[in-house]
Amino acid sequence: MMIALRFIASLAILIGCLWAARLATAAFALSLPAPLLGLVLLFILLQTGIIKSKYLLPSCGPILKYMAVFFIPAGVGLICYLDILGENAWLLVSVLTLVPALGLLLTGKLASKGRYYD
Amino acid sequence: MINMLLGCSVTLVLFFVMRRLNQRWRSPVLNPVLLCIVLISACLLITDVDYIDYRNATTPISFFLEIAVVALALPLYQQLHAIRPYLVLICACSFVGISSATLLAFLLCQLFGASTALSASLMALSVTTPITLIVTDSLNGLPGVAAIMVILIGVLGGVFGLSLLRLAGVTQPQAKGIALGVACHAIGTAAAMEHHPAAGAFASAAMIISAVITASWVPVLFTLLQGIIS
Repeated sequence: MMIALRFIASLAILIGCLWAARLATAAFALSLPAPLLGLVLLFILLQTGIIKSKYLLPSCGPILKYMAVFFIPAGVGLICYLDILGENAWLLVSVLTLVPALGLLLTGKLASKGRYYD
Repeated sequence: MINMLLGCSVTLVLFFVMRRLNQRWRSPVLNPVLLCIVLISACLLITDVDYIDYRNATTPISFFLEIAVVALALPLYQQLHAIRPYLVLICACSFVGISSATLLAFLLCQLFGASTALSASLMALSVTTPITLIVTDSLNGLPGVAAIMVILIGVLGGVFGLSLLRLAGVTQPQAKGIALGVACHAIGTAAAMEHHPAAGAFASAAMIISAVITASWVPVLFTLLQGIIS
């Protein structure tokens, strides 16, 4: 029972941040995505100590651990675009290989300029 | 209501079965999300169920997508003191990595003459899927295409990323972690964690920081690039 209550309370904090961010983006016509603003908002609340991280753990733990499951419905949406995928197969293959390769090489090289203390 | 119960339970059960499978044979190729998407897509195509019906039946699952983005604030907060000395470096790396990946994807789209909707779906592929979906949505792209591409990029990065970095002469685990986190999001981060604990910590910090940078910077960059082309 307590566990369920803790879960609901911490989920309510997350939803509260998301809604506050939605209101803010709508009210000020911001082009920033609302969930991102919610992330920043929650981060500020944590950093200023208004919200303790232990309040968030009951819902954040499972949500972050199983985050991948939330993408499945969106991913299945690809069946609406099978013809587009087929027509652009070469573009997609080159994006799939070249984009992460360039990203890895550039960031890897740049990051290895840093001095790290073990 | 019955549809919703059926859609959600089938999706969740399949995901946990695939996760088990992935834990048994540890391989990024057996990515649970990828397997689930392929299997459910095949089922819908075979049984002739409309995608819209499936999407409506799984709204409770999709509802958590935006909440998961907000929840990313917690790991960022928890790691901040460990990475504080490297914060500027990680931000600079993320910015360079994201910008160059977006630029390359845009150039490839122009080269192959892709439609605007398709180009918009290929702009934000280096980051974690919820951010990609949000950015794709704001650019009027095709979320289904973006989601599957992000996952495939993560899988490729997880399989080949570390070897590529070794070939390029990147030796420090921290640098490898940053590169994997920026270029290959959560699946790359998982590979970095298996490689070295320091690499894992830097990868997850880099992943979250590049999520913030992507969501705010890629839409601007895409608009700029389109302005230059037209």
